[in-house]
Amino acid sequence: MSIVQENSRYPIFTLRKHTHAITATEFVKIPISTTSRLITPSTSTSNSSNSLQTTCKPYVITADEKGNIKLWDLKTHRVVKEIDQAHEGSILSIRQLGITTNTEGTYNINSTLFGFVLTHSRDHTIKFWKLFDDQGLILLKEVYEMPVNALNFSNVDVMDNFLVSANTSDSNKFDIYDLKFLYVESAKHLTREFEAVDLFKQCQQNKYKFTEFNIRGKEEDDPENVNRVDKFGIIMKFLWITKEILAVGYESGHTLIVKVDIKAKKMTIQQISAHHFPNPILSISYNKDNNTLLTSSIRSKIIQHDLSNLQSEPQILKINLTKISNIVTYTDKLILSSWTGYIKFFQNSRQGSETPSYQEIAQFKKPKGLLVGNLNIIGNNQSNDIESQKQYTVKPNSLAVFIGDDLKKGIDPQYQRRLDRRDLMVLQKNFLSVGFDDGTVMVYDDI
Amino acid sequence: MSIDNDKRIFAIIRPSCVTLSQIALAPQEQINTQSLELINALKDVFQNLDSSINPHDIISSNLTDYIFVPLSYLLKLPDLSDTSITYILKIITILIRNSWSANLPYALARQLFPLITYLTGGSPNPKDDTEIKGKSDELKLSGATALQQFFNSLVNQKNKKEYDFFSNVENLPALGHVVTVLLNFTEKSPSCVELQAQSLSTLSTLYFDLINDGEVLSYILPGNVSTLTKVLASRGQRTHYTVLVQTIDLLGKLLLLVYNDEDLGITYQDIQTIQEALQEDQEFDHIQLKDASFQKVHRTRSWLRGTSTQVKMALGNLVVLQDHAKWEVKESLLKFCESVLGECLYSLGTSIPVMVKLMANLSNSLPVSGTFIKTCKNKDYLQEILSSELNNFVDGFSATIQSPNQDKINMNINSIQFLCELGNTNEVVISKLVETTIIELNDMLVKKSKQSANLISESDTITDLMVVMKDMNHLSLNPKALSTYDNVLDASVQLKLARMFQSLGEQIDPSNIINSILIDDIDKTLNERGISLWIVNNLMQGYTTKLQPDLLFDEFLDFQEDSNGTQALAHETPEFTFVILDYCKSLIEEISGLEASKSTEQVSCIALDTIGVVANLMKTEFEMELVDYLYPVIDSLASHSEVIRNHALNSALIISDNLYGGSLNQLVVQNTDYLIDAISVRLSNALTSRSTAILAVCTKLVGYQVVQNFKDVIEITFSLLDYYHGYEDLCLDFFVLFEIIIDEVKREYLSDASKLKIEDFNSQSSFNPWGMKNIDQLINLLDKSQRDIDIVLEKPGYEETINRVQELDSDDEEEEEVLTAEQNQADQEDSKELEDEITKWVSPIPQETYKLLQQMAAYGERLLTHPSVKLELQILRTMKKVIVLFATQPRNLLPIVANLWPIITNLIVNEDPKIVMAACDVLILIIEHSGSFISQRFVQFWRSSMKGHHLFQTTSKLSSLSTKQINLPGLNLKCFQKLSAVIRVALKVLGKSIPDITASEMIETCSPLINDEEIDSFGDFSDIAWMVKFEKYGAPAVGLNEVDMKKEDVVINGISYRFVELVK
Repeated sequence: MSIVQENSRYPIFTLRKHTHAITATEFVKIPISTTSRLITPSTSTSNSSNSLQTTCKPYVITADEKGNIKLWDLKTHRVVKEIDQAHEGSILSIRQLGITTNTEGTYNINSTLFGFVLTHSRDHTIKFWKLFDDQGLILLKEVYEMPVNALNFSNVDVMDNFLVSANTSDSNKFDIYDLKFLYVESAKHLTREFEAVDLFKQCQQNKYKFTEFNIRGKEEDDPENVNRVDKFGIIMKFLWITKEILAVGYESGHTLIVKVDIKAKKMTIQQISAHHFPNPILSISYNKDNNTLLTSSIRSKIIQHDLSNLQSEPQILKINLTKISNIVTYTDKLILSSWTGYIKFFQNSRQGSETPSYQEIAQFKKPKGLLVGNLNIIGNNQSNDIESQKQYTVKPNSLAVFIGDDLKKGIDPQYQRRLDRRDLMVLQKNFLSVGFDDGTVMVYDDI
Repeated sequence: MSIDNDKRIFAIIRPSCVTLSQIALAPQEQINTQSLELINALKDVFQNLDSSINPHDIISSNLTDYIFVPLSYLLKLPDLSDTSITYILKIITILIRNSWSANLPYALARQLFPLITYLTGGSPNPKDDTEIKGKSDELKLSGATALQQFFNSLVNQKNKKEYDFFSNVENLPALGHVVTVLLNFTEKSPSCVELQAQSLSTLSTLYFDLINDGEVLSYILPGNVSTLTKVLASRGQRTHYTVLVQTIDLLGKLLLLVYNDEDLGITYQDIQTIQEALQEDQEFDHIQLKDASFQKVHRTRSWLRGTSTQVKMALGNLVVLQDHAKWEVKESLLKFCESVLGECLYSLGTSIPVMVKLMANLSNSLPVSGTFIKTCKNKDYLQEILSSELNNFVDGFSATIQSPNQDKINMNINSIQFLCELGNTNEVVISKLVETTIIELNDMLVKKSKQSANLISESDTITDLMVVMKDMNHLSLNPKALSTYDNVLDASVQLKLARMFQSLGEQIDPSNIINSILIDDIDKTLNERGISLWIVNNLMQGYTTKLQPDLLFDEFLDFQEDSNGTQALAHETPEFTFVILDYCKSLIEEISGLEASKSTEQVSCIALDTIGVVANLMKTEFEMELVDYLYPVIDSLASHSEVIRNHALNSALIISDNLYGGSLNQLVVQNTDYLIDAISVRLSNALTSRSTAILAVCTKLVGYQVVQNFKDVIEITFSLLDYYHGYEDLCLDFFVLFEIIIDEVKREYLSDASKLKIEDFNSQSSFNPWGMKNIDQLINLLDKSQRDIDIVLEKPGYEETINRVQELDSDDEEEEEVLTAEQNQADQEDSKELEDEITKWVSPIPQETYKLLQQMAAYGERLLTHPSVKLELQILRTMKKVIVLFATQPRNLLPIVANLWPIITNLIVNEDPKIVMAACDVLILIIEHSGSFISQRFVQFWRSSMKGHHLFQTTSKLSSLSTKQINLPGLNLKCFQKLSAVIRVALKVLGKSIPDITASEMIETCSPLINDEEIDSFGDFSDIAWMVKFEKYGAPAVGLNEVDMKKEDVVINGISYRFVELVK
C-alpha cells in the first residue's frame, strides 16, 4: 500500500517552516564557520589576492511569496537565519555573488564579492545581503537596496560584478549594472553599463528575417497590432553563461545568445532561436559539463543549444512532460519540474553522441487530497472551476542544484579530520532543492 | 633456668611423681597396666606439670630426669592403655618443650624419635593399618603434638649447628615411618579436625623447618602428593575448611621446594624449528636440567618426567575445590596456583594449564590480579600457555553455552573473560567468540521459536495511540531488567556474556571486528543480525568505558593546545559508533515492514538499546544525530509490544537526560520537525498507524502551530484517504488525528471565547425582524431621531446589505448612461466595500486553517457512508467538534451544513443506536448554529423520515398499548432521549418557523419520555408540550407518596404521575 507511484524518487528530507508558497530557492556556499584559518590564501602566485583556498559548505536559501527568506543548514535541516518580510512581495531570484565553479570543479572566488547575496522581488527592489563576516559567521544582513523593474516575472542574474535585469521602465528591454560600488569605496553609485538594450531592434537593424512572424496573418488584417506577435515581447529569463556570453529568453519564445563586451559597450547577437515560438520561454539552464544551454516553454520539448558551436542548429528534445517551469542540468543528468506537479529525473543514455537521448529514470509528485476546502460561499464546495482544478496539484515553483565541486578536487585530509562528521557528509553530497507551492522545500541529496 | 623455679615445680609435682614411681617401679608382674590407679597417677603428674610450668620455662635436666625415669619404666611395659600412653606423650611433650628443646643430645633424640613415633603410630606396617586405626584420636593428637615439639627441638639443634638429625641416613627409615603415620592421621581422621590440623602442622614443621631440602623430600614426595590430594579431593566426606587450607599450603610448599625451577637448574629454550614443536614430548624438549650434583642426585630428568605427570594428575583433582563455599579455601588455592606458576613454571610445565584453568575458574569468585604475569620469569612462555588455554575454553564455548547448567556456562564465560583480561585478547579469539555466540544463540532462538507459538497479538491501534498520548508525560520505566534473550538464556548468563564482550571490547580496539560483523551480514537472518548487534553493542560499551577517563584529559589538553595554536585533538567518537547507529536504524526500518514476532521484538529492543548506548556515549553530541535516529526511538514508543515500548522508553529517557534535562516532552517538542519529516516518508508508503500516532502526539504536545508546518503531511493523509478509504483502521487513525488537530485549532483560536455566542450568528429568522438582536436595537429603532437610513448602512444585517447591493446594481443599470465616470467609479468602490462587508472574515480562525478544517469535514462527509460503525462514530465525533469551529464564520457554515444535512439526517434513521446518538449530537449543533437556515430542511426531514423513525414507532405503539412507563431495551432509551433532544432543540431554535401542527406532532412523538424540566426547553412550544403531556398523563399528582402509589401510576425521571380523568 503506498501512494507513491512506481518509479518515484522520494526526497531525502523536507524543510518545513514557510507557511506560504516558495518562489525561489538557491544554494549558497559559506566557508566553514569558526575556522577562519581554513580560509588561507592559496599558494598559487598567478592570481594572488583574488583566489582563496576555502572549504565551503552549502546552505540553502529559500524565499516565499510573502517576501520571507530563510537560510537552512543542510546538516541539521533547520533554519539558521531567517528574515521575515525581507521584501514586500514575492521573491523571484536569489543569487550568491563572488563565487563560481570553474571547469576543474574548484571554486573561483572573487574575494571582494564573496559573502554577498542578492534577492530580487516583485516589490521592485533588489536587496544585497552580507551573508557572512570575515570569520565565516553567518549574518544575512541587508547592506544595500536598489530599485528595479519587476512588472514581469523575469529573474535577474549576476556574473562577477555585472548584474542583468529588466529595464527600469520597459520590460522588453534590459539593463546591465556594475556592482563595483559594493566593494569599491570610490564607486559610490551603481553604474549602468548598458541601458535599455533592445535586442529586437538590433535584429531589425541587422535585417534579421523573422520568418515565424509571417505565419501570423498580414499587417493589414490587424493594423492596431493587437493580436500580432511580431516582437519578442517581455523578457522572461536571463542567464549569464560567462562574463561575455548572456542568454535571454523572451515572451515570444525566442532565445537569444549575445556576446557582451562591456569595455567596448558593445553587444553582438550570436544566435537567435525561435523553437518555442509562440510560447514564452519558461526556463533557461546551462550545462557546463558539455557546454550546452537548455530552454523550455509550456510545450513538451526542450531545446538544446550547443554553445561550442553556435552555428549549429539547436536540437529539439522531445520530453514526456509539459509546462516545464524549471530545468536543472549537469553532466549527463537532466532534472525538470513542471506546473503539472511533476519533477522528473532524466539521464542521457547517449552520452558523447551529438544528439542526446534523455531517458526518464525517476519522478516525483507531491500527494494531495482530491477534496479541498473552499471559502467560496456561493456554489458547490467541490465545483470544478479552474481555481479548484489547480489545487489538485502542488506546484513545484523552484528548482536549484548544488554539485559538490569540492569533492572533485578532494578535501584536504588535514581539514577533513577537523570537520564535523555531518558537515563532511554534507560536503560530500550533491543536492537538489525543490520549492513547492505549499511552502515546503524538498531536498534530495542523492542525485 | 632458675633453681627456685625448679624447686617450686618440684614441690608441686613431687607427690604425684612419688605416687607414679610407686606404681612404675613395682615389679612388672604386679603392674596392672589397665588400672585406673596408673592412669590417675599419670594424669596427676601431667596436670601438675602442665599447671606449674609456663610454656617458656626451662627446667633443669635433673628435674627432667626425675620426671622421666618412672615413665621410662612404664614404657617397658607391654600393652599400656591408650589413655596411659596419651598422658605419657603429653608429659614427654612438656619435657621436650621445657627441657630438651634447648639441648637435646643426639643419642637421646635417636631414642626418642622412634619411641614417640611408635607410641603414636605403632610399628611400621605398610600393609596393615589396623594397629594405627585402633588407637584413640586423643592419643594420636598427643603424639602428633609431641612429634612437632620434638621436631622443633631438632630444628633448634640444627640451628645451633649441633647436628642435623635427618642428614644421617640411619634416621631416614624412621622418617619414612613418621611421615606415613602423620599422613595417615591427616587422611583417615576426618572426624577429628584438631588431629588433622596438628598432623599437618607437624608435617609442615618437619618438612620446611627441619628438613627444608627438596632433594630429601623428593623421596617421600609421591606419597605426600597422593595423600594430600586425596584429602583435598575427597568428595564423600566433608573436610573442614581449615584443614583444606592447611593441606593446600603444605602441598604447595612441598611442590615449591621439590620442583623449584632454580633449585633444579632448569633453563628454557625456545622452540627452534617446527619439527621440534611437532615432537610429541615437546613440553620437555625445551627444558634443560642442570647436571646432577651433590644436592641433586635423585631429581633427574627422568624423575621429573615421571613425577611431574603424577603431579599433574593429582592436581587435576583440585578442580573440585574451585567452587568451595569458603573463600579461604579458594584464596589459598589461588595462592597455591600463583606460587606454582611463579616457581615451578618449567618443572611442572605440564601442570601449568591445570593451574591456569583453576585460576580462571577461581576468578569467578575471587579478584585475581594479573601481577603473577608481571613477576613471571618467562612471560612469553606463560602467555603461550594462557592463550592455548583460552583457545581451549573458546573451543569448548559452543558446547557449554547450550548446557542447561547456568553455573557451568557462567564459569566458562568467566574463565574466557579472565584469560582475555590477562592480555590474550586478539581479534581471532574475539571473532571466534562472536561467531560461536551468533551461531549458538541463533540456534537456540530458532529452536525456541519452533516450540512456542507467536504470542504477540495485534492490539487496537487507536487505543495504543491514546495510551501513548496519555502517558507521554508520566511514563516511567518498567524496572524489569532490559535483558533481551530471556527466552533462551538465564538472566545471569546474559549478563555474564554481555560483560565478557564488554571486557573484550575494553582490551583491544574493536573497530575492525565491529565493522566486519556489521558489514558481513548479507546471508544473516534477522535473529543473527540481532545477535550481532547485541555483541557489537557490548563491544562498543566496553571500548568506550575505557575511553571515558581519557575524555576529560583530552579536553584539558585541547584547551592548552588550542591556546598554543597547535593542532587540537578533540575526543572523537569512534567511527564505528556511526556504523552501528546506521545499522540500528536500518534494522528497525526493516522490522517495521515485517510481521511482529518474538525475533522482531528482540531485534528491535537490541537496536533501541544500542541507540541509547550511543546516545549516552555521545552525550550532547548526539543532538546532531537526532535528525536520523530520534524517529526510530519515538516510533517504537508507540509499538504494540510492551517490551519494545520499555526499551524505547529507556533509550528515549537516556537521550532526553543528556540533551533536555530529562524532559521527554521537550525531546519531542524540540524535534518535531525531524519526527514529522520521518513520518511524511512513512505515510507516503502507507505505514500509517504508528506514524499517525506520533503525529498526534506532536500535535498534542506542541499545539496547532506545528500543524501549520506539516500541512503537506496532512495532504498525504488526504491522499491516502482518496486511495485507501476501504481500510477501516487507516481511516480511523486519520480521523483520530483530525479530531486532535481540531481540538488544537480550538485551543489556539477559540480559547478566549470559550463559549461561542450563538445568538450572534443566529438572527436571520423572519421572526426576529430587521436583523435586530437585542432590546437596545429595538429601542434605537423606535427612537425617531435615530431612525435614519445611515444607521442601517452602518450596521447592516445580512439581508439588508444584499438588498442594498442589489439596489445599487439596479441603479447602475438604469442610469448607466447618465453617470459620469467618476460617479461610476465611486459606486464601484461603494459596492466593493459592501462586498467586502459580506465576505468579511469574522472568524478568529484564519482562512487557511478554516479551509483545512473544511477539507477534513469533506472527507468525513464522504466516509460517513463507510460500512465500519467504528469509523462512522469517530467521524461523527470529529464532526461534532468541527461544526462549532465552522460556526465562527456563519456565512461559510451554511454551505457546509447544506452538504452535510442529507448525510447526517440519513444517519439519524440508522439502525444502530450508537450511530443515531452520535448523529443526533451533530445535528443538534447544526441546528443550534444554522438557525432558520435549516427550518425547511428540518420540517422536510421530519415529515419524510424522522417521524417514521423506528424508535418513535415502537414507543408510540408501546404507549398506546399501555399507559405505563415506557421501557426501551439497552441503548434505545438513551437514543430515544437524544432524538427527543434534537426535536427539543429544533423547536427552541427554529421556533415559529415550524408550523404549529408539525410542532405538536413532534412533541407528541417524544412525549413518552419528557419530564417537567425539559418542558421549558421547548421554547415557543413549551405550552404545547405541557398540553400534550397533560392530555396523556394528566397533571403530576403532587404529594403522592409511596404508600399511595397505585400500580398504574407512572414514574418518569423520579416524578410520579397519576392519570386522572380529564374534565371535558
